[in-house]
Amino acid sequence: MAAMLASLLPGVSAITLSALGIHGIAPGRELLTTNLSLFFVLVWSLFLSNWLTSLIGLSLARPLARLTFVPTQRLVPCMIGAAVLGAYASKGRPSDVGMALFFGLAGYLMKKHRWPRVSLVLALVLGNLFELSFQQTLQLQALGRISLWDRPIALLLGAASGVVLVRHLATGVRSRAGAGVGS
Amino acid sequence: MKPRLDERALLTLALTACAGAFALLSLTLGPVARRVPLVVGSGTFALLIYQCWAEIARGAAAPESDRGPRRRERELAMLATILVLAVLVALAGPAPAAGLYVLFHLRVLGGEAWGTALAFAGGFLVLTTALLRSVLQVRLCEGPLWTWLGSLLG
Repeated sequence: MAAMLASLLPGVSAITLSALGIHGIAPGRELLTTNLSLFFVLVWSLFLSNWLTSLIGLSLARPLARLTFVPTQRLVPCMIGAAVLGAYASKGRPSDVGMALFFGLAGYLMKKHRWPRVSLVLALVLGNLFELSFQQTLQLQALGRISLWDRPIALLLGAASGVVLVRHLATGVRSRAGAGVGS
Repeated sequence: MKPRLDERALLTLALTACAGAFALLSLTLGPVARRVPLVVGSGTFALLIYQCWAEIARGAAAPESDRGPRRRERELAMLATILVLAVLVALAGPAPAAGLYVLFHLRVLGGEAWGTALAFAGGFLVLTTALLRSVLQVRLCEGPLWTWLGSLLG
């Protein structure tokens, strides 16, 4: 986990990245320098949560397993009601409830039709941070403080992103073409 | 081959419209601020147009399916209850709306007996209100319905 958070490897979950983004903390080197205490909080929480999960999970496994016998038709309204109240409780704004219902419906439709949802969540949460950093980088480059062409890591990451995008598109087009020939 | 708009194609069209609208909205920003949204929005819009074309072509090639009418009915009923919930939240506030929603869902969609539905809804309302007010210190807003009822009662 330490290596993943420090180097931003894909093993870091979208939820962790989103949570850090919401609090304005950029994962990577900054987490190991300016926010070192937070980094250790994360490591110790993971350590403790694993122990607690094992202890509580083993002791409560039998009664919790009985939850699976509760009929879905009784669970669903309670869960939707709890989700509505949770959306309201975060900031106390009724408009958040409408937003939660809209995105719940959108999420259901995206899941049903196999549209990726994680990328949308990442874009919504981290888009602001990305855009801010990108604009800062461009302005620093315009002022002559940095040069992107002299930074091999930035070039490598940019090239890797481009390769992933092009490869993904090419795979999609090829599979469609294959399906068209096959049909 | 006649093009056909199925649900997936409609969802893709909606996403395309959203991407197009956001790309257009970015034109109202300043020259520096609109750079990233315009590039990302235009690219996404172009890719989604291609996806739309592919979806409509796939819908035309696929045979007409009559599978899952029961599932469609359940989905529509669920959507209707969600809309009812949104109206209830606007009228009665979130906590009473959630309680009423649980009652309505259990009685109408779940087919539960009145006693069970009332017990579940009442228990849910008491538990969540106590949790929000006492533990989380959340001030629950009252909807206009209660104000109106209060004015009626004087």
